[in-house]
Amino acid sequence: MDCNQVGELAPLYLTGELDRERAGAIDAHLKSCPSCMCELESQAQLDARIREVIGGEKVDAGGVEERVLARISAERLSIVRPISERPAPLHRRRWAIAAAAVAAVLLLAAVSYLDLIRRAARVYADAASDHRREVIQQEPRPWLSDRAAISELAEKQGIAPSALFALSSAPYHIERARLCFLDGKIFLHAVYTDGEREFSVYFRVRGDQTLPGRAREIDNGRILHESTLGNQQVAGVQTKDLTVMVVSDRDSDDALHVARLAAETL
Amino acid sequence: MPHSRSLLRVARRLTLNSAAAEDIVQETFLRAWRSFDQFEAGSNARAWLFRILFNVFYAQGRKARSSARVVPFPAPESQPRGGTDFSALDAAMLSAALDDLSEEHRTVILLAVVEGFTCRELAEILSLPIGTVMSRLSRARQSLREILEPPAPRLARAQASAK
Repeated sequence: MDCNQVGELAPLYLTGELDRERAGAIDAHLKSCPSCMCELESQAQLDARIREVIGGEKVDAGGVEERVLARISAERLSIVRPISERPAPLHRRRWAIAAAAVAAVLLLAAVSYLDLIRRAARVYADAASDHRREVIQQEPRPWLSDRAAISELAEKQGIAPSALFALSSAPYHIERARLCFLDGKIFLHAVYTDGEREFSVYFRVRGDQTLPGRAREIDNGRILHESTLGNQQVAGVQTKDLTVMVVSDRDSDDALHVARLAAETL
Repeated sequence: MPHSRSLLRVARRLTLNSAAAEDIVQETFLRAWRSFDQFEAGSNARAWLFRILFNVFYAQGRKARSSARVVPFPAPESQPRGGTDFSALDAAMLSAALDDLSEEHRTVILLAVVEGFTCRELAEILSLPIGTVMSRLSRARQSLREILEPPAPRLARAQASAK
């Protein structure tokens, strides 16, 4: 990669959008090119200062929010009004204002919820990419393969080892495990194999969080979530104690099959 | 309300006018409320709100937009180019330099740098191809740096040609 290409890709590099390969090529170029290094460092520093100064400015949106609620109330009232030409009685207006406020709160809650869904999508995407790198591409990682060591690792994370072994249904058995980060949270990554094919299961103590996202089906009263990312299929399920995500090849139904098994047995 | 402060911050910097900015944000939320059924579940709510904000801003036309700045930004002390230390850059100077950028350049800096949107999200918000977003962002960063660290020879040439 040369200086011009680095310059062209710099916007994607600075926003962290480059794939690993091209980001790696830029990193390699920067190591050998002090001029580009200096340039990008200056730019990153200026970006940080802009964020600090402009993003840190105090903004009071209270007045706008009040007016938005008032306008929504007014629009609600105008729907009520045509029934009678006279102004609606006070109690009806109060009802309409209250209803509008509730509607506005619901809308905003929905917007926040959709952000949550997006975050969930990030967990699925992280799981799919972790599986791709560590299992399919077999990037070297320090794995534990001894049964006792895997049990100890699980226990330290508050996960009953029996849960890991419960998913070892023939012909698959648990082969190796390690800890990993998905969306900034620690998961226990276990790899199962039948000697030929492999799939990954990510375990985490459930805590208060719920696994949002589109529901595929309900098994044993538990909602199965499913997402297809690239060549991977991710299926998630939450039991009373655990959040479990299964990643397999898209063309096999292993992920769903194992998630169903988890819903039934864990 | 979620994102109201971010929307208002960007609208203010776009219009350089507090009242106009508040009107735009108010209209943005009303449109979002009216068209919530068009929102695709699972897509990016924050980017969706900003997309509406820019639709409102562009729909209001030139009158709501910032007028050409009358007072030119004073050139800072000449500094050596490259490797400039921006970490302690004066806040007022930076703020004025940002306002001095063209509307296009200010827009991409605000969205990508201040609000932390990715280039792909910018492309979606501004309805532009991603290549255009990338080159615009590069040029915007360049323009800002030229304001903040004018190389001495360029400044001398500019002054000479102005005479």
